[in-house]
Amino acid sequence: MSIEKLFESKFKVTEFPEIDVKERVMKQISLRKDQQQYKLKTKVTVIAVSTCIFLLLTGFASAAIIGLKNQSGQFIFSLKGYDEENSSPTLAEEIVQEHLEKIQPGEAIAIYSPYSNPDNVVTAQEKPIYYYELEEFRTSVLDERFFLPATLPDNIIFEKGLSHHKLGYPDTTDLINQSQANGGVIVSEKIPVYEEVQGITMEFTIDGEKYEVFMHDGSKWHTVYTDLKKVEDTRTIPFENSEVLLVLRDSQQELIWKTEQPDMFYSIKAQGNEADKELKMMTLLRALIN
Amino acid sequence: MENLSLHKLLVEAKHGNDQSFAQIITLMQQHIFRYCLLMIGNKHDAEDIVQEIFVRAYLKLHTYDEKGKGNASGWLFTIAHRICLNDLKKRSRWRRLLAKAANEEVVRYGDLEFMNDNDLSLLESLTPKQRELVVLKVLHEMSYEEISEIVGVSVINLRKRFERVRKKLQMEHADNFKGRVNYEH
Repeated sequence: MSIEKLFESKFKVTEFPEIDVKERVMKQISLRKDQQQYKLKTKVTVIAVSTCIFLLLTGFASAAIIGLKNQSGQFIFSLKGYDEENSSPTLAEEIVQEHLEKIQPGEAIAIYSPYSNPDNVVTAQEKPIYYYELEEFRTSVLDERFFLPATLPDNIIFEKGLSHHKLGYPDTTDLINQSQANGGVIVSEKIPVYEEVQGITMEFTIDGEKYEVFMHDGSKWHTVYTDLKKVEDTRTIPFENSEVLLVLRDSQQELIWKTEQPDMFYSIKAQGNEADKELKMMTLLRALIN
Repeated sequence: MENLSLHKLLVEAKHGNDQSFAQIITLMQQHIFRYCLLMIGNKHDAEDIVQEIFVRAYLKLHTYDEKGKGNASGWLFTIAHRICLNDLKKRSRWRRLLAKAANEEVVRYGDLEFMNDNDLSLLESLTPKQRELVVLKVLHEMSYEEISEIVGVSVINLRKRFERVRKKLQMEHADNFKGRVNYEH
């Protein structure tokens, strides 16, 4: 009898147990995706492109939580200081740019650096495709959550825009192993970019001054971590039956707004802390959402 | 296995369709599990490894060649092959450590209780690579070409490896091969 026949006959009568790992696997995948915005002690976290928001506790905000509330008085957005679980990004901008040079616009890369990175944070970033015409950008973003007006007030000039797409989760184990195998160097690998748009960033000029707008799906933007020591002042201001959060840091102002239906996060930044900037940011936000 | 439908599901999953990926698990988990079970030797560990294989497959979806020849199951088994062999290496290192501490002889190829319980002791004396070849060729009915793509060994060397398995088993378990004896001189 040949080996094949012998094993064939044995395998035929073998009672192989049945398993069902589908639920466990999909749960693990879902957990890994949720971990994209948060830092974990175990292995890694992916940091997407984001803005840093600085805030100081004021009389307007809750003594315990800095943030925005809905009409029921529940916090829909909160700002917290960096902690053990959620610390500041570890990768310098020039290193990110160096690795972005390796890919084409529209592609994305995951970067791991072992230096000063005890929690093995991996940075994932998309190399954007820039649009310099509002109409072209509007039509490129095929997601009604990011619907933009066809025209803007005369003093608001669209300078450029880019989309943030859903990114694949990097193989963090592989990146760390690669780094270690090569003597602890900074490594990177391409990761998939999906068609789904999760956010947009735009730059406008209003009366000759630059304003940067960031709009994003709000599901992962309920809490933002930042260095609270750098924040000089904050306050909330009524806006469209809700409120916006104004943040002052160094020479920069930031306006933050969060909505529930749809679940969206908005941030507008401007250089300089002149009082009129506040009004211009709110005018810009109103022009974009109407 | 319907390679074409698996290929279609992999392409959909690669483009972000998680439901398609869930279907892939349903379609392939028993096949992958049987392979792992015969490699690792016990149900509990094999099940854990199957989980790891599918999670890793999800993370590696971007490497799946959607325009390729469409050997979808081969792609999945390649991931399974790497993870199983890595696991066996770890076990082997751990076992050597324990054996050294206990001043005992090393048991080389795993806690193969499944083989013992199911009259598959013939597999126990094989190295993991030899065992894998038998499992993929006989249980999963793969061709040498398909196995070559999975394990990264040429077809010629796989044939030689199988020949060595045959001779080894014939010498060690002659009773099982009554009617055909082939001794090499």
